[in-house]
Amino acid sequence: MTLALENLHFNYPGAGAGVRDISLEIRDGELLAVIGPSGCGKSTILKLIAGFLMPHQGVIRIGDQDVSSVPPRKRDLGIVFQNYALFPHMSIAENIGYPLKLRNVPTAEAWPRIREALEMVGLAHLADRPPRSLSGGQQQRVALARALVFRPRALLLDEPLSALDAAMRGEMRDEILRLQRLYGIATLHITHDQEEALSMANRVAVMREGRVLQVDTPEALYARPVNRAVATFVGHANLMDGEVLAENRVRTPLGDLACARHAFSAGAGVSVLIRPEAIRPVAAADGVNRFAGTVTRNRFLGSLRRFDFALSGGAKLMVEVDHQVAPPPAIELPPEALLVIASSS
Amino acid sequence: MSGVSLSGRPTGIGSAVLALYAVYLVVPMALILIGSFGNAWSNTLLPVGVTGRWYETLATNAAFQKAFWTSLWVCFATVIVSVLIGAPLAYAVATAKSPGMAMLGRIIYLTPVAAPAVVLGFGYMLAFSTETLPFLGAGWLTVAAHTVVCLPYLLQTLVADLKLQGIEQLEQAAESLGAPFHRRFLDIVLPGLVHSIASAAILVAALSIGEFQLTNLIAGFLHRTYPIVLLQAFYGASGFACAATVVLLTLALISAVAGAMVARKATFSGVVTA
Repeated sequence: MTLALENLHFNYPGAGAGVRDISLEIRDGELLAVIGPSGCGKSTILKLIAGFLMPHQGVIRIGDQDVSSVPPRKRDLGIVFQNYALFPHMSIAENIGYPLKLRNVPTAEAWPRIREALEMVGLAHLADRPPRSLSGGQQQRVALARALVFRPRALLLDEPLSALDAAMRGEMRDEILRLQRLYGIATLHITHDQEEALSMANRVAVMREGRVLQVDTPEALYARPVNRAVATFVGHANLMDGEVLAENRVRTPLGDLACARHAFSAGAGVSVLIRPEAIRPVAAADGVNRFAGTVTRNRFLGSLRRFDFALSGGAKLMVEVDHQVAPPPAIELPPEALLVIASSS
Repeated sequence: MSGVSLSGRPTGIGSAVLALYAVYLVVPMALILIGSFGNAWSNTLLPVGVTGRWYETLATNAAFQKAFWTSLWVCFATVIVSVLIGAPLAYAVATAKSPGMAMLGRIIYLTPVAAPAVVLGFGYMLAFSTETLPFLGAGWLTVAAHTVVCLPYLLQTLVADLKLQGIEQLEQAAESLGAPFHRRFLDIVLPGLVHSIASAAILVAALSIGEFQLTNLIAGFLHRTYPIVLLQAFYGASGFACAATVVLLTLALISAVAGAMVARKATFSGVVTA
């Protein structure tokens, strides 16, 4: 069922923080991740959808139903909380069965569904255990099973992996994706971890200061950020201030550079972006967009190597190359990889 | 130098302080116990002779018997009323949306701790000795007064436990799963509080059993509690006073040990510490 937010507006009483003019649509079976720095409003969006907060303006739709003023218990949304929120006095099976009990599902029907949910998350052998006896990853699986067992209309994930260690996070990413695909359910995933968002989501919404800056596929978001804020938040970026000279030329502190074609008019103040892996190491600074310099920091990161490359003018660029590449005497900024983007939102 | 090692074991000065405190705590109780079996005790470090007659006298003393049972029912009623009022009140304070409301709740329920018992007692005397409210000396007034005195301790325990459990998020989880308010309270809030209610109730019982200051001002002749009657024993034979005190001490110790056992069980089961 499609989940849609239309021009949503909310302010916390006595505080400036909140969200403004949020319009998003999560289609059936789609996983939309919302990312942004702390305090950007991403958790507020989840609370608004869940019904824990009431929007001051705008509409929340689940399918065709306007649920903006429907209480949380009647929205039929599965929610997975950051710290699991499992009921400590109930067993694993009782936790998973609780939404069925609330819906008066007869025991004869409920138990097979609880068993199926337990098997789906691989915890059938722990049905009678209390939540505290499980690891973080196992507890998160229970929370996921509990959120899905009553066949909700949409699934909301509130930083579900942030309490797990790195190894478990990778495993749980796959698990969440598997179940989300299995149920084919519209899913909103709130996270501050861009890697998590880019690797899991069909589309990603980047937020800042209560507004959505861009909604796009992970690939498009990385390759074509709409402005400096998005470029900064998603992946590593070399960013410079610039002034447009022509549709494929821009003036920067490094000099006048050839760049990818853009839609800005001449004289416009812009930001110029190049990703670290798009910069090419070359033997000499003898061509378009080529600069000599020295490597000031050389970090080995496994499959790749990250340099800080200081240009003779004093500017410094981050360069990523294959781990076998030696520190180069010069670099090239390929024009097609040099993007001209808006400086602000 | 720290008195406690990294492993949490007392060392050096810490051990000495602990030993001194134990002596300070145990010696008066031991003396009272010894005195209760002493035949006579006057101007000597320890009593002279051994006897069980003080306990026999106590067992046949109607005033003490009545006070004993009055203390028990006042204590029982105080526990019931405190829990019935305390559980919803603790929930309201722990889940108050506005910080101002939470603060107001705290001030109201902590006031009885801050105000001396004699002040509360005097207030009760003024309020309930009028023709309009002629209830001074009524048993239920003693229960009400004990509840006022004990409630802050129960609330402190319950509010702390609710916050420790992250009750707000547990409730949100239950609500998102379809639970209306009464189901959330009965299915999630109360079961999560079982252990802390039990240990707080025993604390309330221990406080109520030993309450003297306030009760002395408001309890009538018909509803004197054990500590009030015990005071009179101090003017008679030492052995009798000691035996009467041992009874009170035993009641208080039973409450304390039971409270500690419940708290320990709760800690191990992880409900309180979750």
